[in-house]
Amino acid sequence: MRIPVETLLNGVSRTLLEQVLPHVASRTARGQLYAAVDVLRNAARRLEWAGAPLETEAGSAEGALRTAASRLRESGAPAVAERIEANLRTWPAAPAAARAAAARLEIARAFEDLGALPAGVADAVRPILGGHLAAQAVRALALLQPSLLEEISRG
Amino acid sequence: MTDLAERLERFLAKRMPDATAIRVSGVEAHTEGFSAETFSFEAEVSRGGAAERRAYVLKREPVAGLLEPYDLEPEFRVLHALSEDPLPSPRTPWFESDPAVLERPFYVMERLPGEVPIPAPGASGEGPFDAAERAALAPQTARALAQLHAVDWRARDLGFLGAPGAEAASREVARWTERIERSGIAPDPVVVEALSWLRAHAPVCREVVLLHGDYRLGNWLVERAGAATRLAGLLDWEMVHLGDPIEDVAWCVSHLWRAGTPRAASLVPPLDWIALYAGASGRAVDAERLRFWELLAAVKMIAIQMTGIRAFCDGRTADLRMAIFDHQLAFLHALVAGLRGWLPLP
Repeated sequence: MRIPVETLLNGVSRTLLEQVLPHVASRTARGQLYAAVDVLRNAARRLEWAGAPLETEAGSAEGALRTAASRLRESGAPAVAERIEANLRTWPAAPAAARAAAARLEIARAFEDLGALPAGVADAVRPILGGHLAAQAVRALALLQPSLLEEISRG
Repeated sequence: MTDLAERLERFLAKRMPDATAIRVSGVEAHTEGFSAETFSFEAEVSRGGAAERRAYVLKREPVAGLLEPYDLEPEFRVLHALSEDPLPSPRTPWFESDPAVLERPFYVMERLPGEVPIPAPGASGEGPFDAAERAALAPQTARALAQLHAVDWRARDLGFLGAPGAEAASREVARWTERIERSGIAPDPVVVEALSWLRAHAPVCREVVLLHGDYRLGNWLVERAGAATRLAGLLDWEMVHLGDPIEDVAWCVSHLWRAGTPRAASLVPPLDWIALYAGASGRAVDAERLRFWELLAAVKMIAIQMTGIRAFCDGRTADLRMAIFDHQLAFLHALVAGLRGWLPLP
């Protein structure tokens, strides 16, 4: 998730106040809306995105990168392998968001490095990183709730 | 804007100086779109003793949104140029850039009949159309796109859109990469890798045509009538530009708009729709070129959503639909992973 939790919850508060409240006639409902905004505002500074999915992502990326580095060393690209392993050592241990961000950056860099290597070497390593991307995509999808886009469009 | 009707009456009076009276009614904001603001209204125009009632749609630049920075004038100029064309695009008589009129630039087009089915599975899970409607619309949508691509854009003075040469594909990759960078949000590594592949595999553009840029289910006005269902209009021309015709084909048949079905635009299998287009246009669609543009379509959608997320983070919009894109990116990342071969595609 790219939007900080505080920004997201404050944005929800703003939308409720600016775009929903003016169209609510019931006093009870208006009161509940204000209460919802009150809850959101007070929660906004106390919450962070859940760490577990981010730690899983970082762990998966680390595993893929170590495997890739090992394969690169075997394939005659030790400099790239060493760069990857050196960068792995610089990842922050915490918070989980920072570690996951470092992981994403390193995966992207590793793909760029592969672009400069002979096709035979790169093609053997690319699926290792691609496997992490696939697994991460599936994990991210598993966290999603059923979409309300159809209801949102119809109103 | 509570006095929109009055402002429109004054605007129309200036544009129709021969009218003796103009009354605007039924002003309604539409929330289906995610980009420019859309309002429909009716105008009763009196000339002498006769009054004529017409339905219009107004599109206004939003303060912030998915395709910012906004400039509605190019799409107006294209629609205006196509106003008398048999292509089902709405007649679009007026554009106004003076912010004194409605605070931001806007254009007015005539309202076409029909509804705009959205790319959602629907209650049946089969998308928004039944079998008869699908059979009717598939050839019409393919034919309309072929007609659009056959427009002589040079003769219509549409070169202002900026004609690319053989490098049309590279230009589009650069355009959408720049949009991602402008969002200030780090793209997911699956996107970074895809962009690298796109740059390395950009096909040479063999012909430059007028592209709708957003030709898809969700931008088609449809009059439902079973087997006589008709494609009544092509809407939302904000991404109009010149380029490779396969770009529009790939966007139309993309997984993005299949509404949870295995069919392009929920109509017919993708290869069948492509065959319809090939037959209508006389243009072959080769698999490698299509593969490139299908991947770029997914990246383009990611760039658009990242733009919306940025607008939300910056507080320039309170539209929560922009915030929804943050978690919806997971679908697009999975699509990119599938198109790159890391994941099986449905």
